Amino acid sequence: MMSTAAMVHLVDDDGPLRDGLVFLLASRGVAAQGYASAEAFLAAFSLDLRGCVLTDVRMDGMSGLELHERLKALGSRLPCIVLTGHGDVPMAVEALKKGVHDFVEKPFDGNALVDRLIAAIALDAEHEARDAGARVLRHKLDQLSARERDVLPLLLGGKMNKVIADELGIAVRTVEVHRSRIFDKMGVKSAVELARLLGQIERD
Amino acid sequence: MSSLTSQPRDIAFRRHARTSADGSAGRWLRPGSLGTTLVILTPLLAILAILLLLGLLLWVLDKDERQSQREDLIRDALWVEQTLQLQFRAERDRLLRLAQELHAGKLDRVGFLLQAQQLRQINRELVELAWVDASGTLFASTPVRSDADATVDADFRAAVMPIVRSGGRGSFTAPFKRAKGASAVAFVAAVSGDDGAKAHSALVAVFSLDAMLAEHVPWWIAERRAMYISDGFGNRLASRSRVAPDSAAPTYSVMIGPPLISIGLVVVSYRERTGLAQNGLVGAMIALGLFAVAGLVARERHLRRRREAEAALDDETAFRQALERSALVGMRGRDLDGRLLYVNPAFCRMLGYSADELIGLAPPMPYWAPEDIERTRRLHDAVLSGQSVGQGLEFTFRRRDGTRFEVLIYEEPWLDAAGTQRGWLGSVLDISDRMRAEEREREQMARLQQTARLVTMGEMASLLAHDLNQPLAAIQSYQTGLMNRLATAAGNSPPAIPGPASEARPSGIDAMKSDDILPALTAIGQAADRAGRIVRRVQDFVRKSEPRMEPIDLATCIGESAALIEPDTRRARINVELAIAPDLPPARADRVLLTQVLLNLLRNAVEAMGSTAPERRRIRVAASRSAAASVSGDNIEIVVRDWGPGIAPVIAEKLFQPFVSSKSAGLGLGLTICRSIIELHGSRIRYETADDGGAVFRFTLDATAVDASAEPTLDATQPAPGRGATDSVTTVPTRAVVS
Repeated sequence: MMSTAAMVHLVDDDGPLRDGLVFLLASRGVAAQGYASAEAFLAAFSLDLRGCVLTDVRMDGMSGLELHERLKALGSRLPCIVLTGHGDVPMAVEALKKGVHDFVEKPFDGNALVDRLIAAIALDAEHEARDAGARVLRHKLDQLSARERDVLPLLLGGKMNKVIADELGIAVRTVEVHRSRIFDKMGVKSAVELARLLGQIERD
Repeated sequence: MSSLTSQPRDIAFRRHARTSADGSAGRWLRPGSLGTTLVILTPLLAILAILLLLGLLLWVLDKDERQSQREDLIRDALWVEQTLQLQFRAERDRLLRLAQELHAGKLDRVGFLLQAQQLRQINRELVELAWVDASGTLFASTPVRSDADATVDADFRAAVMPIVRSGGRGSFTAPFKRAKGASAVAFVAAVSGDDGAKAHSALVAVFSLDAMLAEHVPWWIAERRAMYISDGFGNRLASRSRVAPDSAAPTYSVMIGPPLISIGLVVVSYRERTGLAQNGLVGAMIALGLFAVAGLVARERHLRRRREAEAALDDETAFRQALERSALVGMRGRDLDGRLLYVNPAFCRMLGYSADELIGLAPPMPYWAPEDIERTRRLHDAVLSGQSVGQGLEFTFRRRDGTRFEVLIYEEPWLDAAGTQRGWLGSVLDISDRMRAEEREREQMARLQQTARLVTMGEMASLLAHDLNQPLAAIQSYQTGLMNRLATAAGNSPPAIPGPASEARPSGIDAMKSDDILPALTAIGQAADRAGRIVRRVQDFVRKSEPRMEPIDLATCIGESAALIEPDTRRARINVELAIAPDLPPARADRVLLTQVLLNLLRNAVEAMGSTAPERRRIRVAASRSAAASVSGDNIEIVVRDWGPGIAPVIAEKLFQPFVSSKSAGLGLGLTICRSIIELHGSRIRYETADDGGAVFRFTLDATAVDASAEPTLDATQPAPGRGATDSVTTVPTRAVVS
């Protein structure tokens, strides 16, 4: 599991503005990577990228909104903040409906923009953390044997070992062995703990 | 489906036409009906009946006639028979007396002859009188005859002698033939014998039957009848007739009674004269009857053709009336002097007059718009002289309620049945709807263009905003970044920086390194330059649309402007007068801008006269040399005046300021634009109220001197002295809107 450093992925075809924004973000200690076009960003994109995307709406070639659509299609969950020109509010509202995280109207207050970007990065980190837990849990579940997977639902149903043994037609002793192995593999100490862990996975 | 629905309507129409035809031509004269048959048959039957009665009458008369002729014939026959009978009786008596005298011996031969002579002279029919003895020997006879004669007369002897010998007192013989074929009868009277002894002599008188008829039949009978004497066997013995009668002629036979024996009388009518007359009469009557019938048939045939023609005419008339009622196009017919002879309902509806009021009217018509009457009269005369056949002419008509409307009229010659021209037929189309629609379309187009311009301007503004936003946003970014670093360097933390990226935060001192700050400042400068370039680009664009001064012909320019506004003036029925002085030199001006000024002023004038009486609607555009010469040479003054209500003094004061308008829907930019343009030309525009209330706008233009170097004294970067730069700036959007 390799994750890259969280940073602002800055897509704008206007070089001076891009450089200015990188300078601004650096002054607040936020890492940023600039891309001269949406196509350039898509070329460098991978699902491992962390942080958030800041893109201008109006660009030569692919527009900011199109980029957002493409990213969604690729499975990215990076929060996307869109820079719009004056008077593009209806378009911005439409963009929000389509899942853009936020939009900022030009000209903007620099620090307010940075604050929003930092918030977006934090949101991404939260998503990532939750995703990571789920990935671990799934990894643990993958390690259960076929018989253990049969036992698991009955166990979660709160049934006694004897009942489980009767239902599966095996010895009570065998059930006890499966139970302790499941607890070992899942890293829990009790059925209640197991239920809480798996409940979390179901929520996701 | 459509055919199903249209069919009943068609039938209904036909029925209607038929009904109206019946109404005028008579309900019972329809061909083929019982009534028509009666009409034809009645006179025919009457004629036949008259003929029949006449025939009957003729027949009765004929029968009567025949009857009376027959009676006449019988009467005549009886008359003749009676006469003959009496005559023979008288002869017998006379002869008996003579015989008695002879017997008494009173007469000798000579005496007998004398007596006999006398008798024969009296009676022409007595052809021979003889005194014979029993053996037939003559004693005496008159005329004298020899024995030889006597022997020849065998028949005579055969007839007479038996009687002589019998010695009877006296009797007539049967008819016999005498010599030469003539028939005769004889009377034989015994001379002796009263003593009963055998008679020794006898008296024989021979009567010629022909002579008998000739002597004793009256002329008036002989005139009309042929007479025959026949024996008992029907043989004809004697006759008296002029010509041989027709074998079919009426005949009557009667026996002549005693003393004659076996003698019959036959009377035959000559051909009846009346028959010919009657035949002629009958023939004439039949001919007359036939004539009458033929006449009747011919008349009926003629009537039927006529009825068919009438029915066709009625159908046609009904169709035309329906057409006339349903037509939306007005129709009017006028005689050659222009007097109205015919108007259709649509024409009446258009004008609001009734047909009775219109028909008979002569020009000028009450529906001619008074303000347009000159032109109407002119066109009207042109139509009547036949110059405008087939081409549509536009007129302004006035309804009864005074409202105006536009009509398009097509005139065609109105020919009567003989082909001579009776007048003119005109189709009148109300085109105000069409013109209104065109007007609306034009307004819509104008509004659309306006919108298009606004959209273009909006796009330009949006583009400009985006272009300017980019460097400004960059500047802002650098500026905020620098401030953040300065704050960090001063020990103040910049606005809260939460966790995750905090390890990337540089230390304050590092952030203030000069090689970090200098590029930022450089970038700020570059962005500011870029913004400046954008602004300059806009200015450059604006500079391209500066006025182009050139010599222009004012007459052409004013004429073009008037032509552009013509649809509006025509619709509003405004008379536009152009008064261009003939010797005007070319003016120095921008043609497009000057046209814009004139159009604005003309449009204002048109709109100002919306509530002016139609008769007063007038615009006058005058161009002439100005009395006051300007520094650069001659001035040309242009005056635009209308006859509207003028401009209220309150508004007139600020007339040329932006957003001041007397019009409810006006932006108040038109006159501002005019002022800007005129000031660009180095002149002023002035407003004054005319004495009689209209608005007058005047401005002057420089005339191009003949020897002038044609170098513009003005250009965009150098506005006319005494006026601020704002003036030329005002022109910029104007120009954008205009072009």
